[in-house]
Amino acid sequence: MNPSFNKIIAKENLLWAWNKVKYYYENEADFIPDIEEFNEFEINLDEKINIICDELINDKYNPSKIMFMPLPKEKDKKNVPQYRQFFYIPIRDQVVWVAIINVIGPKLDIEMPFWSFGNRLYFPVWYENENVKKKLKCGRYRPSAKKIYRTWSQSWPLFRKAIKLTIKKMSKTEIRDLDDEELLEHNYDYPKEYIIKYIKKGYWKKKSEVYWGSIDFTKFYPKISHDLIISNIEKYAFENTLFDIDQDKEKTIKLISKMLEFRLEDINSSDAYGDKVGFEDLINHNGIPTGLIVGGFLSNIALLNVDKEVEKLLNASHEVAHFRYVDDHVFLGSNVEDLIRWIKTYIDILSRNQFADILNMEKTEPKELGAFITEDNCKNEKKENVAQDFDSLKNACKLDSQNPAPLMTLTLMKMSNLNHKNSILMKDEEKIAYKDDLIYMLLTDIPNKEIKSSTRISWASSMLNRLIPTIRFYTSEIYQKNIEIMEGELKIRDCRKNIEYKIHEDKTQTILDGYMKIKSKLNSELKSLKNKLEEEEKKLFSQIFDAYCKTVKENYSKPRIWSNAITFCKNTGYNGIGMIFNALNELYVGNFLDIKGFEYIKATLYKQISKDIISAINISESPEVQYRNKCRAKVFLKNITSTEYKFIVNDNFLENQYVLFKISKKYALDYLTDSALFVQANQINAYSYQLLKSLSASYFSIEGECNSLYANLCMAKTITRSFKEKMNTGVSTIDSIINEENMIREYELKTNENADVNLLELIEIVRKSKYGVLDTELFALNIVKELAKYFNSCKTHSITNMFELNNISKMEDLVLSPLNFVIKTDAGKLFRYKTIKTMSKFFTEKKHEITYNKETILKDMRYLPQSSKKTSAYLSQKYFLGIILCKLITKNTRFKDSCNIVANNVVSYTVINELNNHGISSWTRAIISSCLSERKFETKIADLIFPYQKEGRDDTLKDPIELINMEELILTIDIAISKLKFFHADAGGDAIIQLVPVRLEQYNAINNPFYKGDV
Amino acid sequence: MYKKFIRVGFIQTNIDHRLAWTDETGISTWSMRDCVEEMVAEELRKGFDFFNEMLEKPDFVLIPEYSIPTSLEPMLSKFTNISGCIVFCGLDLVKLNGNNVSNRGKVFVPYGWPNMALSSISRKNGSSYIFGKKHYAFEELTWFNDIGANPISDMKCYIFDASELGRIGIAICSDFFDLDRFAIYKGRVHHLFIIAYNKDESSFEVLTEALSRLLLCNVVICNTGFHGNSLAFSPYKDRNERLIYKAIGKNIFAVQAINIPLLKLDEDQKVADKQGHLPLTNSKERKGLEFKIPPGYKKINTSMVPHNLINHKL
Repeated sequence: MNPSFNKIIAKENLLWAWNKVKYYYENEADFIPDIEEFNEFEINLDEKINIICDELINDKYNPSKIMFMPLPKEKDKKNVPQYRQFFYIPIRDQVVWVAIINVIGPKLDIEMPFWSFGNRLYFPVWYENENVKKKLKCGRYRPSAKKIYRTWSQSWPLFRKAIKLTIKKMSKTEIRDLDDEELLEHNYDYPKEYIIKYIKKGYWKKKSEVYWGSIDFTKFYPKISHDLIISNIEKYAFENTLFDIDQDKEKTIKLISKMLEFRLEDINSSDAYGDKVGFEDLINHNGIPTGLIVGGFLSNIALLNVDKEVEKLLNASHEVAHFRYVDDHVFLGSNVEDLIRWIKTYIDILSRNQFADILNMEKTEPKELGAFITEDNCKNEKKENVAQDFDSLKNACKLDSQNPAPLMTLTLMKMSNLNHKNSILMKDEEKIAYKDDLIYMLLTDIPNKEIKSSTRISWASSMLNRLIPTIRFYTSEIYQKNIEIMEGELKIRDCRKNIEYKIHEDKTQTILDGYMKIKSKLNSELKSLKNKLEEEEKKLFSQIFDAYCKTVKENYSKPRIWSNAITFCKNTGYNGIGMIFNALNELYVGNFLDIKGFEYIKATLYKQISKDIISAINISESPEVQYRNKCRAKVFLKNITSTEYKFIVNDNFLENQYVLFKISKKYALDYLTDSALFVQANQINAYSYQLLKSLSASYFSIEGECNSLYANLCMAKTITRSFKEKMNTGVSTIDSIINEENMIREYELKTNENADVNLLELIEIVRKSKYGVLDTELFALNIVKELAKYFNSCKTHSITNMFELNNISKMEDLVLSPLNFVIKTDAGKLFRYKTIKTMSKFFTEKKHEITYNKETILKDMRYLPQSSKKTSAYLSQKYFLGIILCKLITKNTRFKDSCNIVANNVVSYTVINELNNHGISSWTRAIISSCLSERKFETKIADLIFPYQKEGRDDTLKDPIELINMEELILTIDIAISKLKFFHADAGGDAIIQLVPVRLEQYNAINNPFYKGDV
Repeated sequence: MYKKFIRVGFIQTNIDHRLAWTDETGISTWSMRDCVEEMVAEELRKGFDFFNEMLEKPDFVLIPEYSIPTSLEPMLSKFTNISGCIVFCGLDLVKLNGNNVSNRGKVFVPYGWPNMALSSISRKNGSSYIFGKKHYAFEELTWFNDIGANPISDMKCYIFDASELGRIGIAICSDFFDLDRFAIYKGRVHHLFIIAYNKDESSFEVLTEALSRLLLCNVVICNTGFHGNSLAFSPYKDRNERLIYKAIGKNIFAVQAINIPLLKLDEDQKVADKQGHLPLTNSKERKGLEFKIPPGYKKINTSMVPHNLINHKL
């Protein structure tokens, strides 16, 4: 099988694709996913990926049918509630699509012109200081990145700013805005494909006036031809890549063609929406369904040929500037004639490329322009509706170059300024003023042209939600009063002592009475001070909540705004949930929403409440949250449990959200009834992969009420009960099994001196040794070195071809679990080595064989990396050694519950977090980083497929060192051991103090491969 | 290449221990009271706001022992990123398993330090490194006795390499009296940072000067504002230059930033190493010295983790 097609269907790639889909569903999607399908996929991730992979290999993969799902939209002019057309696409198909784009996407994205800003593929962008100057840096396209598309802030504001700056460059106007200066300064920091040529020096030959025009497409997605997508992929994705073998190209194209066969789920004819799908084109092999995550990128691919033609003309003439954001176009020209000519040429290019009649004349700007560009092209447009006067058109199109009114970026600038304010450093008064700015952005009617109102409102409400928890209503008077009360209390205690010892009893009693009076006065002053602050707090919260209510009523079709209103209640403890439901009901009764829209928003609210309940419980229990915010979260839980919810979700697809809400509400109630018990019960919350795998989603049930649940919200009681019933066993997590099965023996070292120990027992011994010599990095490094030597002696497999990812059947790996490896030493003797000096002898003088215990083999997926667990013995063994090294240092044989779900892929992250509580040297840290980093593996793949993307976008500078084979790993451990010995300081006698060298640069999070979040 | 001077900021939190670790009835408790947590949060905000407004921001910020409860760590991490400073702070009593407790400090390193521009990191989380205390003070042991806690000592010594900002030794309060530690640090560090909650300021002051001279390094103490007397000392030859900073006065919340020497200190350390305990015969070198060299000074080749183990490309 050829490598490139193999790359698309590689399990690693499918896993990366799943992670992207998951992130999209959880953070970016403005629709409600099918939680049953989502959970089932997540719980059975490994199996699901295997099935997809097998089907793809054997050419048996068939995409499932897509489902029509109307989303609410504002009423039309006739006062009829509208809906947005949307299709629900099954998760497995989304995963395959993202997997395809992961591989073919970067090449195509680079082919796209610099003036196309929307739906471009994500790569990280950040600033670095270089010789006092700030320099913009770009990373690579990474299949493992969480985001699919460049973020809004990396695209829309750039689109608008580029237009504004081009106007200034065309008219040779002085650049005064800092915003413009910044764009100009960093333009060349981008890789060459992204440099905005219009603002380059000398692009515009002479100073000129600037005229503008703007067009938009109509029904863009439904009109996109599948053939066009295929032909553009064939034309542009396979140049200079490893897809150079025809057969391989054929396979890829065949897969994409199959994926483009969007078949519609049958629509119930009785359904009021049955006749409104309006997507007949799908049947005719046209159209990209809204709801397909990669749909935006496919639309860019479809326009690639058009873009290329346009690019050629632009390069030849340098007379017009052409900008595109998805289907929104802006053109700039030095005179109206050129502008009209250009737009007509563009329309012609579109027509020749299967985009005839695509213009949405209602959205053409200035309005007068329509008549001039549609004479021959838009037959449907009524000519009498458009202005014929050329002078009037000229006036309408002309721009003031310093303040180009219709293309200004003032709101964006204001948003950017507000975004950059560090509200956390502000005083409460400043925060309140900042809040007013945000409320202004939330409520004020700002034209949609510069920024969509939904984006602005969603941004403002998210910012408010971030700001509010930081307002503390603190006054130093409270602290002072507490000090006075405490001092009074100390005096009272002294007096009581004196009375007890009968020292000046009468006099002391009088003094005591005086102090008691003062204390009581102070207490009441403190109380009234607190009450006053609480009142102020309430007033502020209700003011903001009113703004929220107004916003949701005016923007009722935007689910995210409803969700943000719920989160506001969680962050503040404001009792507004009931009011939010009432507002929704009013909208339904007032015929603003039809029944589908009503159901949809209800489900959105229940989904958000469920999420916020779990978040509020976490906040209440987290030691890392301030007291005030914990109180607010608890009040939210109380409000939730005491509110009556009369609205039930009556939609087949959406009712699971209501079920989930009922489960979450019960959790809230359980938690409030007995938080300690609740937390204890949930410590066994998540399950080992093996156990989860054996359970189907239907096992998750709670008292017969509900039948589904988020995998990551699985609560122990539920699962334990189900599991007990089915398996008739009391076991819970894999760690419990290990304990219950006595896989870690209780070690009385004095009596068991000659016994061999498995690695888990060894960790237990280290734990019990309590601050002795075994509790050292040196010991841990020595043990891991012995283990590495054992792996090296086995020489199972080494990677010969990084692309042979699915070729796993030949492998006969050692099953990696610490229980399967026994250290052949007299364990008890370990304790005889009281000092580091003598322990060093232990490792140098005696041979410590590590053997593989074939009798008690246990497979524990937590010790294997998610992506390469079946790829290479060395990669897996290296990862295993990294985890063992961490465990020996942290002396912890157990994992956090979240690690038990393989789909979470958080083992290395949580293990390294535990390590943060143990001061270790940079040497050991570097070895652990190298062992556990999966990014190195991905970089290798990315380099081989897209070697050209290295240029100007190296984000690997801070990656951990690469240890390419076991010999090199052993050598590095040896160096670390000798360095640590070098840092021993003699403290007299046998005692040695370990000086721990730490390079702070290693702790800047970038060097932490486990840091969650893109640069 | 080391910087000529480094800038050290102090946030002298003013925590009254009688209120912070007692409940309303005056009984000792394990962790900081809520009203004190609020007060500390506000002091941190004021401190970092002050640094943020400065033209030249500090490279390091020191916060006294026992100042930061776990609940304020995320906030401090954000402040670290906003200011771009490395923060050394003392944590509230850390509860380990069972009744075991530990007095610990933490270093917060900004995201992407030292290259990442501040505008790219203000929303990110930095990372941190923990270190502990070896010798507990009598007052602490009394407190632990009251609450039934068993203190655990950290037997290790830490040396932090902050690239162009020099190498740093660290001690928490009473570890300042741990002579073994200084025997180890001698010849290896440029700066010694001490975070303290200490009322015996006079002995600290004497020791500061002595250690600064003996170790040929800057000694900086950030003591609690409740007792006052934060200090910075540098072993200049000219006695008038040695005391760089001193904050006198009790019960005062104070924020300040000062410069302490580095490049010249490092150069003089090298000269001192070359000369060993012999008198400096080369008058040119002697003339060029700005710092008072202790007899027998040996600059130890502290080969820290090389860059190529952290970063394979360099």
